[in-house]
Amino acid sequence: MKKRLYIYVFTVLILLAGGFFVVKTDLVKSIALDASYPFLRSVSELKDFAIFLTQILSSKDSLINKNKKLQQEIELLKAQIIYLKNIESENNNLKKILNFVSNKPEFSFKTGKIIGYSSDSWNGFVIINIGSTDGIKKGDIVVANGYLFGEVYQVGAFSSSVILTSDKNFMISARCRKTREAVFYRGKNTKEGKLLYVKPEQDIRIGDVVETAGFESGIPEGIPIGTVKSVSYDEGNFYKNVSVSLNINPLETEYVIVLSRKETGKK
Amino acid sequence: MKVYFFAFSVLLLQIAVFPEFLSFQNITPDILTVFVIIFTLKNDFFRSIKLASFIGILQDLLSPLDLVFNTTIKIFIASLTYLLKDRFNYTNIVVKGFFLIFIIFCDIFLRSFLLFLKTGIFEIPSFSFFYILVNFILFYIVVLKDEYR
Repeated sequence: MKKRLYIYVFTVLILLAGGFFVVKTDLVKSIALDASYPFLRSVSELKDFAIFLTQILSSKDSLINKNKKLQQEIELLKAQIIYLKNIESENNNLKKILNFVSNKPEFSFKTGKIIGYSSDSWNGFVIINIGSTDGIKKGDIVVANGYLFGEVYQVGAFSSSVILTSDKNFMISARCRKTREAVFYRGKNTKEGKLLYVKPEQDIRIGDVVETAGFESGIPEGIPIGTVKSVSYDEGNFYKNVSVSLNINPLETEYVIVLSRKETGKK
Repeated sequence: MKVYFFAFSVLLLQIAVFPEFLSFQNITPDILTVFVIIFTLKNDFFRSIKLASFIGILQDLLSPLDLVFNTTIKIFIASLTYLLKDRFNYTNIVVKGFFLIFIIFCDIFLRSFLLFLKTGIFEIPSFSFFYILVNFILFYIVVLKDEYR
């Protein structure tokens, strides 16, 4: 009996050590990501084809209406671009007058499609169809529907995995939009996250938007994460208990935008 | 070898297809856990533990975290199932159901505990009940199909 137990413990330890070694190796992880890419891409293409077929079978009127709405939206966005360009040129002129030196990094935008999801409900991550060949780097920020969606955590040649803002392992420096109080944000579950180390004197208001502070290099400031849902105190706890409601649902999101910091060549 | 290929295929389906089509209240049934339980019920210990660690390592490779989170859980589930399977008349479908609920609950507890070690937050998630329910339904479908065959 004792011998069997020793054999069991030894086998489990060997398997765990082997697993740990494999999982810790970045190269093996990116190979695994690339190996699964053809299948994930094929499934995504098949899904698109099925949607295309259902759209063909659906009534023509609804497609015409949808097309009209999209065209209206495009026109609206075009008008907004013209307005923003005017503001940009005005801003540039004012900067010249003030001799203002900007130290904000520049970002490039890439669109990716979600092709895979977490295999369990505990870890919040998705796999997108762009990788290092498209210029994606570890640590790039991912945005969807105008909110922070997550951060690129693992990069393969053709695909990358993105840890979601709702994951417990996701942490980022943040600030409140109205009061500009600097805080730390951490994911909790699919519906909410929490702010860490909020001191009693910090002015955190319910309904205020929590956004990225941009303290970390490569992360732009001002991207909304969520809104403050509740502020409370726990007896014996120095810090405030602040929960943030999130607006992300990976299963309903199809496309995401990856913000990649441009290499300026400066050292 | 066939069973390993099958497990790999199920993992890919679990990542690409099931979350969109089988999820209920954003909870996806863990088909791989159910597969490990059913495989262990029918096979010897070392075959089961080998398959459990294979599935776990594959899951961990695709997960962004550098932890053997899934490997530990799958090995634990295979060991627990093997340890308990001879103590019950597990051919009875009702006993099988209770057996599954107990194992899935242990699975949830261990996952929460491992997350606590990493993040310092211990929480049995609110979706646990749905997770047990969804896995329970899936297990019954597989077992009933198996019995009719």
